Amino acid sequence: MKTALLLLLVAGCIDPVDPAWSLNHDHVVVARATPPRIHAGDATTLDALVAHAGGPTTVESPLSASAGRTQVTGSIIAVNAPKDVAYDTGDTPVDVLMTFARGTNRALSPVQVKKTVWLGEPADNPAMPDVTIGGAPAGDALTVPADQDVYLSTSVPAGWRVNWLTSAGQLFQDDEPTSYLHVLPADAHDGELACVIRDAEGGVVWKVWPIHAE
Amino acid sequence: MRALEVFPGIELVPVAAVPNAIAIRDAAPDQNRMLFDGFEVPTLLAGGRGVFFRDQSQVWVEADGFGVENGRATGGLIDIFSRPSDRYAYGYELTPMDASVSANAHGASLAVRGSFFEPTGVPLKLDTGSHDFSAQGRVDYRLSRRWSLTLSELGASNSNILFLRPVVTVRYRNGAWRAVIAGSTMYAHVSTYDTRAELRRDLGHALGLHSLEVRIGEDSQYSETSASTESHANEAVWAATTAALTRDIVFIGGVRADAFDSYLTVQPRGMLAVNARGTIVRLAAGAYRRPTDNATPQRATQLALSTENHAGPVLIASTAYYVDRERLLVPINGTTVDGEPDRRATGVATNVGIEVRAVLASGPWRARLGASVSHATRADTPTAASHAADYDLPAHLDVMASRAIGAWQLGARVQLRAGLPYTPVTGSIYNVEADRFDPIDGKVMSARAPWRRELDLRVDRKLLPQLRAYLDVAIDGGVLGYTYNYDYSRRLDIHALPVLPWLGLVGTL
Repeated sequence: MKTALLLLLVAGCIDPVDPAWSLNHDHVVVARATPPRIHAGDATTLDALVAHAGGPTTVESPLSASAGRTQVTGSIIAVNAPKDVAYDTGDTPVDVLMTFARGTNRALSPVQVKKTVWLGEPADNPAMPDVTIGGAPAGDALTVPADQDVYLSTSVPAGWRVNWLTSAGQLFQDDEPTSYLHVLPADAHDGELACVIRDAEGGVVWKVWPIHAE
Repeated sequence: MRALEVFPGIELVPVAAVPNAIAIRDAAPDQNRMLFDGFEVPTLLAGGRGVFFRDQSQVWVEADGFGVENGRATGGLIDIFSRPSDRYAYGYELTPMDASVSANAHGASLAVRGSFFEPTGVPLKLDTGSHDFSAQGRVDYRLSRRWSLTLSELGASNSNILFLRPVVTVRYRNGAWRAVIAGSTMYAHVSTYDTRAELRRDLGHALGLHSLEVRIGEDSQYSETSASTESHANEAVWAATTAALTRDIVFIGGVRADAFDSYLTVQPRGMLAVNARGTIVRLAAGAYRRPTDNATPQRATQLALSTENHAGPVLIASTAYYVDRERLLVPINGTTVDGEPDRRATGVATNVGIEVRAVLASGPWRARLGASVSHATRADTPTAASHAADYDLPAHLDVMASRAIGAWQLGARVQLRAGLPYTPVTGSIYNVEADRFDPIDGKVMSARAPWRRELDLRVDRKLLPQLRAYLDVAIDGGVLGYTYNYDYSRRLDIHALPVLPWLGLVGTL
């Protein structure tokens, strides 16, 4: 009786939703500035990893970008210090607002993205650290066993953040350096796996693999 | 607690399908107060159950304004009074969700309830590792012919709240004089230390009146957060009179002065009641204030005209009301204090409405009807464009009927309510650094949840002289409100449970 009641209550309350780790959902996964730290007045290149419902991810340039009073229609933008900030006080964050086409529904209004670019000592995005899949180094394409827990792991310094995303199977602990993937019989057996890493200095790096479960 | 919704202006406010607060007319939950023996307690446990015990309490809903004896609320009051026990009895109730036991002796009572699980989170989950507990007790002791002592207590705990509200009340009566002195403290996230005192004198036919009574009192509350990081002192004194000009014309009025930290407010309130050939007509008006953190007190002016008529087995009551609210807190765009949006007290609101209630008790039949229409609006400043108030409930109909047939009792209840307004989200901005989607709000309160339709069917059966079983089936499945997925690209319906059967056993010894 109690189990039946619990099932009844849980079943009826809210519509199911795509989890945040799903690549089978139109959304901007992450955006980056290359480089993410520049001298005031220098230019940086903007792009983003975009997921699409029913299709592979793409790396896209913004439709438009703006930083303060500077607006561009391409992916390269020069970023100046805000007028009310003394540039010699140290690293200065400047928000860059971008728009991207909305996934597979490109007739809809664009998606808005905010990325912080730091003015100060220049620095690059981090390099992609080593990743292991099921204990073995990840190659260019991944094949994993179906209906088993497959551990995904990388190692990052303290303060960095890791996100795993996939369009094949289901992820658990998707915002931890060590996550695991489980592809159920009813899940898609082909798709992509992505690992997104944010360092503590505004840098971003990602890698996307085609994945097949068997 | 769902029985409270038979009062047309009351709405149990759900979060993730779990009622967890009470709105009275357009007044948000924080503008209303629930009092236990005169002192404030938190409102609901998860699941919408009252923290108090129905069999050991009397409950009054004061939605048409209340007297100067109570303050610090600009909406309504739910008064819970513990009942003195005058007999020996033991009771129990078992449902799929919880179990409760109660014991009554001459001059003492105690009741305890515990749940088997706790509904939590968005979306709704049932945590079988968490439990709700609540307990209520009362002891009465006559100290002398004129003095009596009452100790009462209400407490509850679950994953969100933990409080204990013990109350000590001393009463004195000597001829025309009466006095009540009460003290209480509440142990919770915010601990409070409270006192109330009242002295009343019956002046009989003084001034040529049919009857005259005068009262003075005080009401104080000192509150402190558990980490002692913030404290507030609220002191109030009041004076009131009940004057019957004739047997059929009574005036109750008074004035209350509240000091909320450094703010002093004065609130006159009055009510004139006339019994005109069996129909009681009441006209009530009053000023109400409540303190807010670091801002000037919120203000409300309430005006209500009500009628009440007993025609044989039928009671029909109606109220027409107008409420004007000022100095409501409004967030200031783009500014934060300690991570929370900074706010200023510039908001205004009005609410106008009509409510009708009817109660029938005739032979085996019992029936209740509650209906209301209202229009509540709010604006960020007196000159800004107005929009629907957060708890604007334009229409509400609630009909209940039951009939006893031998050992059986059959009942049904139908509720029809307009949905609450909400601000739709039109898009989002993805914040790369925080890995978070921030919503872009559309026009404020420009959309509304769909109408609610609920049907409850209930069968009670007396199994033994001291044992009763009931089956209650709630049929709903409507949309309570909306939420959004993580990137605000999809609006999600929050559904009420489609069918909820509820079986209970109630016994006495």
